[in-house]
Amino acid sequence: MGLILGGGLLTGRAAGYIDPGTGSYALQIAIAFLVGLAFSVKVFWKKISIFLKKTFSSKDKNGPHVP
Amino acid sequence: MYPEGVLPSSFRDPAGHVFRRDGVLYRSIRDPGRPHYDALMTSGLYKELIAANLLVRHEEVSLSDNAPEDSGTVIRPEEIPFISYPYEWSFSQLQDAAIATLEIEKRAILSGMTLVDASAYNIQFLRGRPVLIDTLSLRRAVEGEPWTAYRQYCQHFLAPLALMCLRDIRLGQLLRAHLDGIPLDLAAALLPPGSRRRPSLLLHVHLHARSQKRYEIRDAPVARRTISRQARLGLIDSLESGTRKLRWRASGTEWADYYDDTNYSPAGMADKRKAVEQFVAAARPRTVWDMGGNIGTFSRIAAKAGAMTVSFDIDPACVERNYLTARAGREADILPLLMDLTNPSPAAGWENRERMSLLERGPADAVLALALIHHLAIGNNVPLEMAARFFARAGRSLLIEFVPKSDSQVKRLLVTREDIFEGYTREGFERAFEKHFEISRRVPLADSERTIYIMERKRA
Repeated sequence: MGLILGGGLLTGRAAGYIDPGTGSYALQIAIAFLVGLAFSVKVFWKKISIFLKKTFSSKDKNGPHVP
Repeated sequence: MYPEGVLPSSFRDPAGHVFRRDGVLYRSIRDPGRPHYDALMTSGLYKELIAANLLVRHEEVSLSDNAPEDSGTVIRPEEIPFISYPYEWSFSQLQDAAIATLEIEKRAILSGMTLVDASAYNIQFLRGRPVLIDTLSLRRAVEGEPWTAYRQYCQHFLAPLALMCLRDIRLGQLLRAHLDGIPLDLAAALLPPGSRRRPSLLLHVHLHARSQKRYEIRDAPVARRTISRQARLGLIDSLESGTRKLRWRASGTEWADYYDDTNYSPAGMADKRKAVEQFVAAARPRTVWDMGGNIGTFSRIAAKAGAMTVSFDIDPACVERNYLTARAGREADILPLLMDLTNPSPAAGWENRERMSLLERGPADAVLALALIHHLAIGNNVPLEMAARFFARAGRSLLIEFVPKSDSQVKRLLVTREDIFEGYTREGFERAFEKHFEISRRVPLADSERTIYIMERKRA
């Protein structure tokens, strides 16, 4: 994380006094990709699990397959 | 010029103010807030938040006379029966308020809006549920802009919750000193080292504190980037999962198991219950303050009779258990709060007027003070006369239990104390309270030397 914070994401210079909100702003920018990716994976996984649940529950409703 | 009655806590936001006129609460919406308010109402977000019980309901009203000169719109929000503050909430109350805040922001993002403040003071408990009361803190989002309330969320919610459950529940009281939330460098220093193993705390408290420190330095480089909507949702999701994973089990405090250790016989307890029932049935109070309410056993009698009942206790575990019971039972008329009656919440903030003291929020129609007076008079050396004065300021009708020195619980209090309480007698009690109240009934409790007194405050 330190690498990300200290890396090429940081550009420009602030003039004058900087409040603690600046550090919060910078952290959000730094972690945006990470939390966005984690969220996408989570949503994708949720969709897969709902799909699988639906698939298997509809098979169960039809009863066991008899050849 | 604004008319008289602008609330002392409503001064930070140029988009509007909350004011009271003829006893009714209104919110003015000035020009800077107008586009945001319109977006809230037309985007469907208002209806969605109302349906989800996340936002206080309002109606637009016309106040042509004496309205704030430059306010195009005035709304009348539903009034919160009792304003409470985060330093008065139990762990789960603060956690539920936190989750409500994130849920609102999540829904706002999906409607092209954002919550610009994540102040715990913008959340109040209405019918047992946490709701946002600051309608104007919902604004149109600027595309790509990071969440402006991120720091505030971490300071007002995540850091105190983490401190309360991972270090000591009493650290919630830091919110009383730090009205804009617990500074993250302080939280990071106080949290146990193991908290770094929790990704959400590592990120949103420890690294957040470090990032703040880094940018405190004059002329430090500042990031100028935008973030995607998915990243904004990801941030909220990360905060939510981190907040939900914090758990505190209410036990092990002095009062949590009080009702397992009382000296009432079943008949005595039944007398006490009946006295409270008869008191609320006769007084028909709209508001009741139960002082030293423990887990809310007697508060519930008042709440069931239809009174909006605030159940105060000094013990965080009792308040937590009381809240969890109320939440599970969807009890709308009971609000458990943490309060040390020997040091009740003071007036605080700008000009000492931004947050009200306990007594400024009263008086209640009726006060219950059961099994409490000996703790005030003997446990805390409060003279009976001063206790009576306090109760007279707190409410109009009073039901109070007198516990004499001969009672086994008072004897326990006196085991390690010198008995300097000569005036603590039934006669002394009646004399002190009769200065402020008319005693209307005395109810002796069966198998005990305790007596319940019912009194009416004397007219000044």
